[in-house]
Amino acid sequence: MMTDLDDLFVKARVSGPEPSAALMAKVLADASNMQQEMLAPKTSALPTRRLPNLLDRFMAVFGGAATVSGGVMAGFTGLALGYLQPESLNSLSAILATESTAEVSVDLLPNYDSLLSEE
Amino acid sequence: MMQMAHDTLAELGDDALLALYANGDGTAARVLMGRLLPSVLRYAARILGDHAEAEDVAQEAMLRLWQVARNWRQGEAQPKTWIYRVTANLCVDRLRARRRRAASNIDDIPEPEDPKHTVVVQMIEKDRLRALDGALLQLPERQRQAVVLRHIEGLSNPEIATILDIGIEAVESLTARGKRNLQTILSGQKHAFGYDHED
Repeated sequence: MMTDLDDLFVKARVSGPEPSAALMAKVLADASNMQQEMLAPKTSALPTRRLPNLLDRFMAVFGGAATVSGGVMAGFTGLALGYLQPESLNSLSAILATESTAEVSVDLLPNYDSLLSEE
Repeated sequence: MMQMAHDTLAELGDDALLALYANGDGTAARVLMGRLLPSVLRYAARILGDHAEAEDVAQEAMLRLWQVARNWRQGEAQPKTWIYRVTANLCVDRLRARRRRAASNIDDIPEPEDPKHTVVVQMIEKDRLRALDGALLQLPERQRQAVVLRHIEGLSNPEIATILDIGIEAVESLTARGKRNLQTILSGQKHAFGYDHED
């Protein structure tokens, strides 16, 4: 059963203030201004960001281009030395191989008796 | 951008209109305003009880809608629910500012119109509605918002829950208590309204 209050609610739904012409003009002006702002080309366009290609992503995994290029260079040098075997390198290897290892004794527990002796 | 015919636009949903507006269709803004502005203004006026303030709030709410148009995510929220939520928050801000001003300098605040006084002893529609608005202003803020959205604006409980950022049970509780309180307030004026007869 509809009460007086429900009846009043129904009537209130179709009553109330209507937007004035001035308010509607202001709202439409806001809409127009905002639309122009949205659609205006950006004066300071941001630089387009290049998507990383496969090589970039691969190098990023190993720490970037500088690290990878260092590693590649070291690898090539090693290969070159292995294949070419320069004479000077052989001489150095021979010296290092034949050199007797000098025995160096290190006293890990030095004797402190001298410090304890009385003058 | 080519403007779509007004009749064609009238068949589109609010979110589609917003997308058209964001893409440069000026007529879409006009149609959307026609749909949303009256409800927003009516709602703000009933919550604030001040027509001028309600107009400011309605304009601000519409402006915020234009601002978010470009980033609006289709299908996630309805512009109508969204703008009611913005309006509710703007009204809360206004009411808080009003309370702060009242607390800081009570002498400068004009005496609020006594809602009971607005109940003119005449059984005419206008006065009954004015009495309802007066009684609504006597409700606690959240109850008032829930009652206006549910019973006057005709929104569903889930929509109101989204707007007020509360659960559906809380909405049911607020609207039920609000309606009871309204009946209590208005029952004191039944004589004035000529409702002395038994229902």
